[in-house]
Amino acid sequence: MIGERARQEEWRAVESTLRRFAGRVERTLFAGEEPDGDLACVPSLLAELRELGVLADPSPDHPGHELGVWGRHCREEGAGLSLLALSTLGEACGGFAAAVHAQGLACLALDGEGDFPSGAALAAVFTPHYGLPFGPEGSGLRLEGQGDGLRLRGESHFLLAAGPPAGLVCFARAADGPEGEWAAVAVEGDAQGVELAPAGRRTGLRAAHQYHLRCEQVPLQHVLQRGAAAHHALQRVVACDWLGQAAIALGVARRAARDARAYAAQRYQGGRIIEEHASVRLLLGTAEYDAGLLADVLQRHAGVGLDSLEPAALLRWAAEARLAVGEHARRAVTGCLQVLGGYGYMEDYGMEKRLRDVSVLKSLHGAPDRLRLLLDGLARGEDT
Amino acid sequence: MHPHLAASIERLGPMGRWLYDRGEESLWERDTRTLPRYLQRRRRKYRRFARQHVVPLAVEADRAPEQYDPRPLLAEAGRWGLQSEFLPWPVGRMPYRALWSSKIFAAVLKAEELCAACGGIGLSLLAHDLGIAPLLLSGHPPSILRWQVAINLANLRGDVQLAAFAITEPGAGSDVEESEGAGRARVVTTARRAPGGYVLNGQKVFISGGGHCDYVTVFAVLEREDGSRGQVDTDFTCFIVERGRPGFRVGRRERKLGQRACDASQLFFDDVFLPTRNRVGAERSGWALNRNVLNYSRAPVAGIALGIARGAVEAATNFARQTRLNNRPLVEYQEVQLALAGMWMDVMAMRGLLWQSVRHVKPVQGIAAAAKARCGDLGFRVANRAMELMGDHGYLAAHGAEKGMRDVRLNQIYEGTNHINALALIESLWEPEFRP
Repeated sequence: MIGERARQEEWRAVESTLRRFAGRVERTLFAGEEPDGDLACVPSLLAELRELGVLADPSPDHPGHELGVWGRHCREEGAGLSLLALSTLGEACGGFAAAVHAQGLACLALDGEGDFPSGAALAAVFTPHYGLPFGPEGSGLRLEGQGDGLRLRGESHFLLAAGPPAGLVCFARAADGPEGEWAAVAVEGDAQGVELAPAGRRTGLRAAHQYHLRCEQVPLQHVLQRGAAAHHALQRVVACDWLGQAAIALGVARRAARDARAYAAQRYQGGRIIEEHASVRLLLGTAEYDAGLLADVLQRHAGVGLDSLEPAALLRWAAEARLAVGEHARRAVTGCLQVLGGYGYMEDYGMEKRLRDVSVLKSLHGAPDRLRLLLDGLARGEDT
Repeated sequence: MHPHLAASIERLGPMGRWLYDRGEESLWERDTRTLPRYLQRRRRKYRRFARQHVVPLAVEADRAPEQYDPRPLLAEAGRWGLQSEFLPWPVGRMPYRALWSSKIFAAVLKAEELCAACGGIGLSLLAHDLGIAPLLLSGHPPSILRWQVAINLANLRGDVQLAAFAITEPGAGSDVEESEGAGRARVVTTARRAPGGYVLNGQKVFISGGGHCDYVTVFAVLEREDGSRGQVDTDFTCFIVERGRPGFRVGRRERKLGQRACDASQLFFDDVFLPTRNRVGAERSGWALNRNVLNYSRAPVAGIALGIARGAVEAATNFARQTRLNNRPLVEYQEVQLALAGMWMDVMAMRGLLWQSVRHVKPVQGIAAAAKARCGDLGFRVANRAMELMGDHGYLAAHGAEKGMRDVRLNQIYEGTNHINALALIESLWEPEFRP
């Protein structure tokens, strides 16, 4: 009882800190007129978050390594704190939250291995040109050769990062192992044979960076994991990726609902305040329902250590949460935009940015139909 | 066609073979051939114009709208006759058939073709039609002859003369589009009588094409005979204001989520004197005029949604043909085919609803409103589905799908939000369908 109370107080303290920082992110990023914020401020804000220990860090000596988003603590304590952090930051800016999320995922994949210095920006690499990494094409990367002659080759796409990545944590299929054997490797971002190209202008989450990777016979010194361990690590990273996206989308949706409600409380139409109009009440009520549903899905296993969850259960939870982004978070945000009418469509009011952000989150690293097929496969006991 | 099915068809009798459709034309061709010949020609013309002149500009106009100058394209559109289609030859290019049949079928076809290429550029062209609509719909011969004919002839010469329609105000959007709110609308644009005419004061917002128009048709509340303030549903009056009139100025251009190539500008009227000849129609006829403009414009706006949705579907279909998964084209996967079929069916449903709505000689309020609202909703659904089908490529600007989503979202808002249009349907059909 005392332990539980202490834990709740700790969570409240963490949430309070996060909310204050999210307010700071919002005030700093959106001081000007740019609809996606002053992106030049992002690195300094990330540095502050790193000082707070919320941004994950590759060095085991840094507090962020243990306590940061997708830090080591998740393996035993569960995703709850990370999801709370991401949804709180998502209320301020979906793109900023995505940058924090990307750094955390890469550190989760690294799992304390490798030689990256504290503060290095990393990216996890696991997405093919199209589809999920669980198919025959895998991530698009292949490991070739043996011993000192080990090389990384191929292309992977849409990797997310908090900044230009100093390091890459890549999941590749080992050409020299059993059919489909996975391996996790770490490479420097500027290593020989590594080509990183910006993925191109996208509709939302613009505070985060996104790249395509091409590897041409990249020499490797260190393989992090191989075989079943690497496969489990990949499943964990993919699942946490989807869970994190859902948490960010929840934050975006909650903030949209709050702003729409505030607008409805002071806008008149037909001589009445519009919060009294049935059409507006229906929109806001539906947004409440949608956000509540997504929050409930995210709570499902939030307190269970990632290492305690069977990979199939973890993936199922994550896929359902991610699907709820497209079906519920997007509906909530677009309904809130509708409450604002023409003002919702204009950049000045922040609502259109939220729609753009959630439009990316519903497809990022997994088209919805691919996730539905995955769910069916998991239900039938298929290997992923 | 599967060879076994083809062989089986050959074993039918002559009439059976005749009754079996075995054509391989595109859906676009099939739909076009169901139209009267004069509309078939129009549809092909609009598509030619869109491909030649709109497609090359679409990406940049959306990426950097503040650097996009619409006037060269609008001049070309004028020379093609696209800006003069509501009066017949010799003062316009409306087909004579439209005099005794649907007035706006051609406008709907135009909207679809232009906006399949680019929603924003399409809107910038169509905004002119909206701007001059009050002139014709006023039924006021001096307004038609003095203003609309002159504008038409100028555009046909390639001398760009553009109009915009100004009704929305900072505190009155939906209120100026539906009956319940009109009596209590908080409008700030007023007109008072002055020797020789009127003086206009006020502000309009979100005016499509307002930034570069030569004329704007403005709705203002005319003060009452006793000097008291009027209200929208009893005292609205329409005026036409020329650019360059002292006191008329264009304010800021809004930055929008989509349809960015067309500006949405603020307009300010500071003691603008207008001679009597600048009044469109009778005093206090503006409420009916405004409502009828919406009746005529909602179907073309539905056409905008249809065009944007079709563009998104075409982008998704091309993506599925060109992209491979596990060494097979995506389009060969059944789940992809099911997703594409769903989108194509939605577009076909939109077109069916829209074309049916404009078969009436005069637009019916409830039917026009239904087409506008439902096409907006379906268009948004289609655009989102297209993005989802394309996976991570869907949210990248390079593939065109995300632009479709951003563009079509406006169709659920302007020309009356979809809730307002739903209530317009109820109002229109209350007596025959809903009265308890």
